[in-house]
Amino acid sequence: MSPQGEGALLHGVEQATVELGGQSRRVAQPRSEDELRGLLTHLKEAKRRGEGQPVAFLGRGSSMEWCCPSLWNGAEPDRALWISMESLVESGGTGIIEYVPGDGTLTAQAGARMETLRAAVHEGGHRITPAGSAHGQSEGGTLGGLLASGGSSIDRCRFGPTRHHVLGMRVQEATDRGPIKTGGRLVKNVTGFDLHRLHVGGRGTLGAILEASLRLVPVPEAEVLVISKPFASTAEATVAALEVRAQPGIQPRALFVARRVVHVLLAGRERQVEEELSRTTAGLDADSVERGPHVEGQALKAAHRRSVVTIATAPSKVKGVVQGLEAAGIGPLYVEPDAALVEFDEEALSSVNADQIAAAHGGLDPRHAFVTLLRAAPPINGLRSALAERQSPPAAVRVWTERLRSNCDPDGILESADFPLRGASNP
Amino acid sequence: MATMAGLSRSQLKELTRIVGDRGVRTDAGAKSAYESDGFMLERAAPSVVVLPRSTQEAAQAVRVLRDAGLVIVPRGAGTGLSGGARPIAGGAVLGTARMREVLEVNEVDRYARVQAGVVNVHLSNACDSAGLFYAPDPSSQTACTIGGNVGNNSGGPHGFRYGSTTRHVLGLTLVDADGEITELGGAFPDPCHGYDLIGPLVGSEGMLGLVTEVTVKLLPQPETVETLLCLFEDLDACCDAVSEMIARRLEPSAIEILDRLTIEAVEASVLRAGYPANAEAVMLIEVDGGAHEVAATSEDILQVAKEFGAFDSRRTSDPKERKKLWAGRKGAFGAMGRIAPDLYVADVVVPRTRLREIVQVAAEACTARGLRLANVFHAGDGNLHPNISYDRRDKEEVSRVVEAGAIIMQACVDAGGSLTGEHGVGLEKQDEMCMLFSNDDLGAMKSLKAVFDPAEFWNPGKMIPVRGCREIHTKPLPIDQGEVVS
Repeated sequence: MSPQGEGALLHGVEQATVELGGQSRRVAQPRSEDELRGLLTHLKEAKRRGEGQPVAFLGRGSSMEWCCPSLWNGAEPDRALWISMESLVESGGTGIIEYVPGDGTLTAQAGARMETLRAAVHEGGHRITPAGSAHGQSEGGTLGGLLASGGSSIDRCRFGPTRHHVLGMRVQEATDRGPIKTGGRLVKNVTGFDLHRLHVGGRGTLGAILEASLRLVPVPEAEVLVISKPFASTAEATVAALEVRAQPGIQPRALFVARRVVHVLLAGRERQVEEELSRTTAGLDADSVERGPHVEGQALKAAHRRSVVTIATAPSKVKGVVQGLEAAGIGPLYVEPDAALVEFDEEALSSVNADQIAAAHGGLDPRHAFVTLLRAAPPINGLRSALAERQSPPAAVRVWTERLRSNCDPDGILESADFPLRGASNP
Repeated sequence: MATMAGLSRSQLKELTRIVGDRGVRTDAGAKSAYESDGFMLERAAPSVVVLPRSTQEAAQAVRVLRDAGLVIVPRGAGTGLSGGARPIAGGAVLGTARMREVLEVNEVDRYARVQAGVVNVHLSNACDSAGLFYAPDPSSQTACTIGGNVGNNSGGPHGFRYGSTTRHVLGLTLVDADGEITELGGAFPDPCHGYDLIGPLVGSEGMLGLVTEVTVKLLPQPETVETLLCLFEDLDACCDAVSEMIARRLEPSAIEILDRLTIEAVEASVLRAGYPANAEAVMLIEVDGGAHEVAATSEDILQVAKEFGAFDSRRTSDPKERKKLWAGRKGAFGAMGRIAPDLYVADVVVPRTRLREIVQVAAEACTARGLRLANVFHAGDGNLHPNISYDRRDKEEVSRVVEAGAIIMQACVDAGGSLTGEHGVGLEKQDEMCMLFSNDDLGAMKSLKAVFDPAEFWNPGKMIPVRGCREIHTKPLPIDQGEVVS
């Protein structure tokens, strides 16, 4: 984020024009929670007067392209107001509120940078899960951005999705309430509703995450990355990866297929990792085996992508989905067999047209494949209406969602055109 | 013409048509059975008990009850310890006791779909032959249901490694106040349509709707399992050893502590596990995973235990021996019936660096009030269960128990802990929510309830304090009623 110029105060909050994602954008930079709350109050009042403007919370902008593509890529970038959460972190500070190595928990401000947090907990022998940023993008975001975007990383194979590691939060909704606390800083706690789960993946549409507490995972004693030789197709590589998944006695920390190559990250006690390595390579033709603490970073690099589409299915259906996409000429594909995710970027669409994509989409069984568009790309933009029709949420979910939105943001200042999906009958 | 509060003869007839003769109970015996859960001091009988066999029956029954103006308390096996599954005054109890079918076990995709009334241990049995298991294992797992586990976000000893119920729920079928059926999630790994609605529904104590079916994640059975028993002459040292194991980032699947009084109770019961009588505290640990992982972790654990004064230890991978050791732990609460007629089972959580401190506070609070305290708890999670024995007929003793319980809870909150780790808030800790949450925090919780249940139809009057926190903070400590269970 590079400031281009300081502007006038906006309702008492400093405002700057900042170069972000190739555009000059208006960014409000509250320095305290009171300033943030005051700003939200003014925005609500403006909306009531009919002078509303599009608003979204901003970490460092690394996930905006798929969190709120309409606003990020919109035709009138000057109209949108981005509210920085990074500015709430004291200048020169880390944003860490509490790291308790003896308890394996971390509490930090939403604007804290992920690389700072990862470095701090590494010193205490811990790692943060997710291991990398959402959807394999380059690291560089904030804690709040990571959680609001809701994505998980390659280590979900072992530790599950990001939301399972969020212990609690403080959140500022767009209501008259002050910051609210939900959950806590404890690894086990069932006191009250888990409201924080709504904000993980909520894209900031229910309020701003101010702080979050995370359960950490230990740095493993040993780590090995097995990289297979390239397979002839992603479908063949997927079959090989599914065989690794099904083999008893192997608990990969990460298992994915990228560019027709299977990647297996093993981690844990040293002798156990060697045993699992031996079992893995017995069934997988390895091109390389790398050892050491750097291999997780290597795996993240291999999983790096700018996906435009993700398809969630079930492990037993992954192979069929991959075969269907490859038959339609879409590829290369990224596949996580255990999480049953299939993704692809714009490059995968280079040799197909919109009709072929529509046909491939039509070949997916909607009962077993849920398609999400992560960012705009010309050949797939036509899918939006088809998806809205085929993947319309149940009626009750729409009602609950609208009530949630109206409870947390009664004036609709955080309303997004992109999230949550509203379905065909309620566009 | 009404036959009972709010329910006409024709509505009663309609309910009977929907769920069958055995599914509607209005007799005194049934009402008595449903007037409390495991939190037995306070009781209130429902007007009617309805026991559907399927989601469809439940949905139809809900419509009849709604039209009759009766509120509904959803209920599993009633093993909860916070009063969450009992009526406050009248209304209907909608139980899942007849919804006990495991609908699907999918070996490849590693999930199971079950009716909400399936008993926890029956699910594990059902997926055993597929080489899979369901991780959450509350001590009451031979009786408690998956639906009840969802309502309370239940844990259990193995929650240390595998997490509580919320980490294992993939999908839910929910019946709302209109009797509409909604499927949320499923075998897909992530929330698809938008907000993660399953997140707050798990642990919502039946206040947002009726869960009738659950899709849960199953895990591959570990290759090797070892159970370790470490004996200590000192409970404090035992607690410190656990804190050190966490600090050294060791990863067993369970770390439990039982103190001397608990050991005596277990050993004097039919659940005799062979815990030595000469130990002040025993640490029961389970390590699972690959053979090498288990061997290395077990060695490290035994080393820490030794450094902190363990005078003896055992280590076994024999299934029969392991089962025996765990039977003592899982039956500990039942065994304590030998100590006194009634038992107050506290359920609090603290950061794992503060275990010793809170155990000492509990001991001092009880000693100063002439009360007998037995500790059995999920030490690895910081989830303490100080259990205070008493006789409910002795009102003065009850007031001392309540006082000690309040001191323990406040000490936990002051130490950065929380009110409940797995039993839920229910009625028992409703007022104490104000120790932890502000009016704004509680307002946000009320808003969530209004999202799913604007008419306050589901389990009203639970969890969220009815009165404002300021009023609760100024109330005197109750002396004529205790937060006790037996």
